[in-house]
Amino acid sequence: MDTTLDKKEFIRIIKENKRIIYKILYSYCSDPDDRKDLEQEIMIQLWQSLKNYDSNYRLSTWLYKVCLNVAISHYRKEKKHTDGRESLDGSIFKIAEESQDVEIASERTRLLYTFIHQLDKLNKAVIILHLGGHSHKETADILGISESNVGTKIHRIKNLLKQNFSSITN
Amino acid sequence: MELNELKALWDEDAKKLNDRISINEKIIGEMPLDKVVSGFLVFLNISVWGRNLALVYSLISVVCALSVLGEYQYSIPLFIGAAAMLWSFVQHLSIEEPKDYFKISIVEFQKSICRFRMHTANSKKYDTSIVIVWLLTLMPFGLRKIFGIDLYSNTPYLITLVVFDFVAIFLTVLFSQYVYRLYDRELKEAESHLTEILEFEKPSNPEPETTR
Repeated sequence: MDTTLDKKEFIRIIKENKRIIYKILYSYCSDPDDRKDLEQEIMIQLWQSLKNYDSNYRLSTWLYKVCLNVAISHYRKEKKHTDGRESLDGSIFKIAEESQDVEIASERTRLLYTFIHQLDKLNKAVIILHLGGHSHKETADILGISESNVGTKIHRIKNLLKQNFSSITN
Repeated sequence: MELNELKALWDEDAKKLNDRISINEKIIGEMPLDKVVSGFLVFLNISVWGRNLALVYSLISVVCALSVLGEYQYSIPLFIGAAAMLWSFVQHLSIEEPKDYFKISIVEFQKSICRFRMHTANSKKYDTSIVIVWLLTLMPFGLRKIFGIDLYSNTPYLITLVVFDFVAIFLTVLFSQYVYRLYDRELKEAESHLTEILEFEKPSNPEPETTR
């Protein structure tokens, strides 16, 4: 297949799923430089595993799996690039400023990510999949743990949430 | 805060992001996506190559030893070098060949990364020493073949070789002390991550939660 066409298709997939990738990036990396690095790593892995994409999987499930795997095993602070690639000049994801209610919205978003950042890498994956609308069974399949274990973990996250955050006002 | 409030925040954020995020296609277009192998796989590929090279090095030593079989002062060190390389090859047989890791679950993938990191951290300790031993055992044969220097019939050369060997071994031991500490740290980190994954995987104390 023509590489140019492949890349167009790839960009289309990224565009359609930009929210998923963006949220995983922000959930795993609070530092902008780390995030840029993870962004690049995710793009490479998505591109390379796209060749082996199995249509029996839902595209979004495959995307979550690739992105979460890369994010969990990402060790930017300790490892230098060993493959000769350089860091990106800019970010792939450009985010526009909000036109209204900026402060309130920012505060709410900050609250959301503050909580997610408190979790370890694997529990982050659980909550991201749960919040992304995956059922316990789907989450269990993607992660490779039992459905009841997913239930237990979500219950614990729920308790942690109750303990650490007071009720928010809309 | 309740979980449903968190979900509401997540959805609200997602909704806003849809309009706010744009993709810089130029950067993706310019990324050499085909030319790089990322993170874990690059280390895995290097290790698989290194393992196979150990077998090649072992065969080189065997072929050299066979060519000077009767001259034990040459053939015996070469066989020792071959055995060391063969041992290294066998030690690395447990390295898994690169495969499509995204067809397995996240926990399985993460476990394989940890096991690989533990394996490399463990074997790095011996790999450097083995390469040095192999080079030292090959050196007398190489000097004779390439420069026509017969170390064993020339006392000053032989003394130089013995001194050189001792210095090399001394430096290896000295260097190892420092490097082993780094490898041990890598090993401990990988072990700790694996423990974390195994703990995560383990079904423990189920608590009531209605499945959707």
